[in-house]
Amino acid sequence: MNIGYYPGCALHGSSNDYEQSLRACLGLLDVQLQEIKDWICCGATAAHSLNHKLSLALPARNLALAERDGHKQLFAPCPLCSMQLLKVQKAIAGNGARGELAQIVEADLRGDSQVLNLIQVFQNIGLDRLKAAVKIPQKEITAACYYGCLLTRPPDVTHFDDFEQPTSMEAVVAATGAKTVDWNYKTECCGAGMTMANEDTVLDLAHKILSNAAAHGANCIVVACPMCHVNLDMKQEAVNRRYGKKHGKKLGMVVYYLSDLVGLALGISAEQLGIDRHFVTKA
Amino acid sequence: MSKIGVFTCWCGENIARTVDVDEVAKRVAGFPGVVCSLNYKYMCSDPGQAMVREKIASEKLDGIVVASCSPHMHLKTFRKAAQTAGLNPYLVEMANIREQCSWVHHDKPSATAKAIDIIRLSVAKVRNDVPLRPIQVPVTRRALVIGGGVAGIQAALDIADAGHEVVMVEREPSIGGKMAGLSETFPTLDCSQCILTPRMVEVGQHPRIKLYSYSEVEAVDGFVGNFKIKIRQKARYVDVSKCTGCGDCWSVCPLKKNPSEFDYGMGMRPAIYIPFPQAVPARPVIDKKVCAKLIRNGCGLCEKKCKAGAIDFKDEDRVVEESVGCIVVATGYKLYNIAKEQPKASLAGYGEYGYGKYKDVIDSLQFERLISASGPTGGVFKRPSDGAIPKNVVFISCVGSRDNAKGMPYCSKICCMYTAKHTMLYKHKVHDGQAHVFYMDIRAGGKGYDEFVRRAIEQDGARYYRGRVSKITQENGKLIVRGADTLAGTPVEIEADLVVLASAMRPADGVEELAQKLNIGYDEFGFLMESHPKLRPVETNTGGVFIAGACQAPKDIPEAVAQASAAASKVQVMLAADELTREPEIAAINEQTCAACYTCLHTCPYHAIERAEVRTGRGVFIKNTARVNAGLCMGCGTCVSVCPSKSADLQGFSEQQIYAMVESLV
Amino acid sequence: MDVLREASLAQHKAAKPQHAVVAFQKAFLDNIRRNGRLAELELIGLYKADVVWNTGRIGVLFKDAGLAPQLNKRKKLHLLPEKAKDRGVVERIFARCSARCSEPEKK
Repeated sequence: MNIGYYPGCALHGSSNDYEQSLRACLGLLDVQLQEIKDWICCGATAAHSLNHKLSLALPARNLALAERDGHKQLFAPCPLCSMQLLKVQKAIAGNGARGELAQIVEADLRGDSQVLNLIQVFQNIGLDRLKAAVKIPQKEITAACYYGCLLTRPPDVTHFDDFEQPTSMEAVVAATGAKTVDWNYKTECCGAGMTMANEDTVLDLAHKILSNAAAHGANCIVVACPMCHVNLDMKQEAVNRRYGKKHGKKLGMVVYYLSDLVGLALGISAEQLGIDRHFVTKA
Repeated sequence: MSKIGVFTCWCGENIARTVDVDEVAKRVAGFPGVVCSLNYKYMCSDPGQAMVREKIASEKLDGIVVASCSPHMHLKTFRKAAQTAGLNPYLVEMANIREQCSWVHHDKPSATAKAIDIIRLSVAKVRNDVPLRPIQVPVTRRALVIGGGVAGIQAALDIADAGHEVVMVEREPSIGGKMAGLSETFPTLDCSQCILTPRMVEVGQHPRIKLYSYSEVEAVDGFVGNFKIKIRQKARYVDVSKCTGCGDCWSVCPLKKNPSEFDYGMGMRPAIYIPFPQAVPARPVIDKKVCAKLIRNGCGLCEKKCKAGAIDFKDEDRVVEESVGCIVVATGYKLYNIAKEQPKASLAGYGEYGYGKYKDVIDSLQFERLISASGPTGGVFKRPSDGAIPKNVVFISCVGSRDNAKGMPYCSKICCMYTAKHTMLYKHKVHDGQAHVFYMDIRAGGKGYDEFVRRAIEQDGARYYRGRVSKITQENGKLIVRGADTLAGTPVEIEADLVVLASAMRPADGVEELAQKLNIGYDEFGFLMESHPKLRPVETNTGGVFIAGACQAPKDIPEAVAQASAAASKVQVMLAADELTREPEIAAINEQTCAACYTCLHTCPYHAIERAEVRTGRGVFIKNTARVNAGLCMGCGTCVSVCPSKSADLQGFSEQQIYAMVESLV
Repeated sequence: MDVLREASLAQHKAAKPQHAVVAFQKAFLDNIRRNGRLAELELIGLYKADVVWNTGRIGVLFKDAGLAPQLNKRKKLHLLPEKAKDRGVVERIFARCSARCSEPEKK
C-alpha cells in the first residue's frame, strides 16, 4: 500500500521518535509512506487563532501538493495537521472558497484526497490482518487510550468515531493482545501547543489525565498525537514535581505512540521503534 | 339569461385608496349579464348587507358577485344575506380585490384595471353557477377517545356527561397515563394520584363510558360521523369478569424481578401484575414475554391460587368493532432517551452524559417514582445504584430540548417548572441535601409559576447555575458533573450522588402509525398537527378527528385538561344533531361516462372515492363506476385533474366555469 | 472563539495575562513565514526574547533550559532546522492572507 505522507513540523522536529516508530511499524505492514514533496507547515494552532484565511491557505497548499503528487490518500499522523487539512476540505466542499484558495496557494486544488489519521491507517490495513501478524501479544499492557481533542471533534469535520465515547483506538490496541481500560479523560484536552506559553494549565491537565488513567487501572497511555505525547511524556517529571506530594507517590506512566504498541506486537524491538527515546521509559 | 348584481366594496381605505371603486362599478356595469353594479364603503356592514338583500329582491337577481376581501373573511356573511333574500347561497361569488389586489399594489390605474379583471372572472364564474344544497351526513352519536391519560380522561368525562356514549381505548393495563406516576404536581404540590384517581374511578364506573384497557386501535375506516373502528383487545390471560382484584396471584408469582414499566425501571414487578394499586381497571395482566407457564408450560401457581378461577392461560387477542361519529386522540408523550441507539435517524444520544451507562443518571419520570410516597423505594429517597441517600443531586435542564445537535430544537415547556418542583420535593425528603440546577432559561409562564420557582430557590435552598453541563463521568461511586456558571464566569464541578436529566418530551411510541390510520398529519417530530395553531388548536384537517394533550405539543396538566375539554366541546357540537351538514362544493362523478378506471380512487388523498355499481331499478347490473363519498370529499379537485374521461367535476367550481373564466379574460 | 481572538487582537484589547500565548503564536507564524516549516530553536529563542522584552520576566530565559541537553541526548534537538525549499510561495501566501484581512478599525 502506498499512501501520501504529511509528517508536519513536529515529526521532523522534537517528535521525530514518532516518525521513527511509524516508519518501522508501517513498513513491516507493507505500507509505504510517500512524503509530500516540499510540504510546508499547516499553521497548527497559531494560524487559526490569529488569521482565519491563513489557517485555510497553509493546509490548502499541502492538499494541493498531495494532489499534484497523485495521492488519493493523505496520512497526517499529527491531529493538529489532520484537523487543519479536514477543515480545508470542508471549506472547499461547501462554498466557492476553492477558487480563491487555489489562487492564494498557487496550485490547483480539487479536495478529493482522503485525509487519514493513524487509527484510520490501521483500520484500512484491517484489524484482522493485524491480529494475524502479531508475534508477541502485549499481555503485560493495560492501556488507557487517549484521543485528545482533535481526533474525534468537531464531529461534522472529522466524521470519525463517536466523539464523546470513542472506541476505535481500543480496537487497534486490543488487536495487539493488550487490555484497555474504560476511563474518563479519553477526549479531554492536554493543553496542546500551550506547553511553553501556558505551562501551568498544561501541567494541570496532564496531571488529571495521568492520574485518571492510573486510577482506572492503566499501566500506560497510548496516544496518536505528538503534542499529547510531549505533554504527557516530556512533561511527566514536571507534573510529578508539582503534584507528586499531593498523592504521596509519583506517577510513572509510559506513553506509547499507537504505532509503538503495534510495532512491539509485531516483534519490532523497542530501540527500532524509538521507544528508548521517550522521556519516561519505565513505569 | 343571467341577472347578475356586482357589489364593489371600498373596505374603507383598504381598497378605495388603491382601486378607483367608482371606475370599477362603472366598467363592470357593462359586463354581459350584469344588471346592477354598485359600490359602498363597507359591504359587510349591516347597511351593506341590507343593500345586497334589497337589490336581490328588487332586481330579481339570480347571481351576485361581491368584490371585496378574501372569501375566508366574509363568504359566509354574504351567503347568509343572499339566503335571507331568497337566493340560493351557492349563487354567490366573491372577487378578492383586497388581499389579491389593493393590498399588494401601489399604482392606482394598474390596480384598478386588475380589479376589473378579477371581477370579470367572478362574473363569468357566477353566470355558470348552479344552485346547490348543503349535504346532510348521518352521524353516529358516539365518540372514541384514544388514550387514557389525564387528557383522554377529561375528554371522555365531558362527552359522556353531555349524554353521549364514549369508547375509550388505552394500551396500558390501566388508565391514568403519565400523571398517575407523578409524585406531586406543580404549582400546588397536590399529590398527583389523589387528584387523578377519583377521575379514573369515574371513568371506570361511568354508565356511558366503555373502557377497553390493554387494547389498541387496529384499523379506522369511514368518515366523519361514520367511523368504523377495529380495536384489538390484547390477551390479559385473566378473565376480568371473574377476577376480584384480590392480589393472591401476584403475591404468589415466583418471577418477581421484572423491571416495572410503571416505575420506569426503578422498581420490579412480578410476571402477573397490576401496574399500581389504584389501577383502573384493577385487574392484573400476565406478561407473556416472561411467564413460565406461557413460555414453557411450567409454574401455573397463580392459577392454582386464584379462588375465583379467573386465570386463563388459553386467552387470546380479540378484535372488536365499534361505530363512532368522532374521534379524540389523546395519546400523550414519552421522554427522550439519551442512549446511543435512537429510534429516528434525526435524533442523537448524549455521549456527554454517558449514553445511559451510569445507573445514577436518571430522567425526571424516574425521579418522580423514586421520590413518590408510593414508589418502588417506599417513599425513602434512595439512589438506584446502591440505595444510598443522595446528599448532592444535580438537575440538568434542557436535555435534548432546544438542541439542534440532538434533533429536537423545540422547548419541552414543563421542565423548568418540574425541575423546581423536584428540588423542593428532594429538600422536603432529604433535609441536609443540596440540589443544584443547571439551566439555560427559566420558563415559568403560568399562574403562580414564577413564584413557585422563586420558592424553590429562596425557601428550599436550590442552587441555580446558568450554564450547561459539558460532561458527566464517574469516579469512586460519585458522579463528576462538569458545567459552567456563565453569570459568575467560572466553570463548575460538582461531585454528585445522583443526576436527574430533564429530558425532552417526545410523542408516544406508535403515534405516527396511528396518525396514518386516522389520516391526520404530524410534524417532523411526530407531534400531531392541529388545523390552525392559533384559531383551531384541537381540530385536525380530517373531519371528525380531534386532538388533545401532549400528543399535539409539549404541555402541562392544566393545558392538557383545558385542551381536552375544548376537544370534547367540538365533539359535542358535532354530535348535537342526528345529521351533520357539509358544504356541497365537492366532487361529483358522472356515472354515465365514468369508465371505472379508478385513477381517481387511487389518487384521492382523502380516500373519498369508492367503487360502486350502476344497476337498474330491478337490480340488474349495468356497469361499474366510481362514486364520491359526500362525507369525506374535501373538494381538492385531484380527481378532476386525473380523470381521463372528464367524468369527475367539482360542484361550484366546474371545468365549464374555469373555461368561461379564462375565455372572459382573453 | 477564533473570531473573538482575531477581533481582540485587531482592536488591541487582548488581555495582559494572555500575552505569553499571543507572543508564542505570533513568533510561530513569523517563524514559518520565513522558513516554510517550524524551526523549533529559533521559535523558542524569539518567543523568550519577546516575553522578556515585554514583561521583564528574565527567569523565562532559563526556564526549561535543562531540557535542551535531555532533548539532545535523545536526538530530538535539531540545531540546523529543516526548511522548505520553495519559501517564496510561503511568503506570498502570507502576504495575500494579510492583505485580505480587514484593517483594524481606527477609532
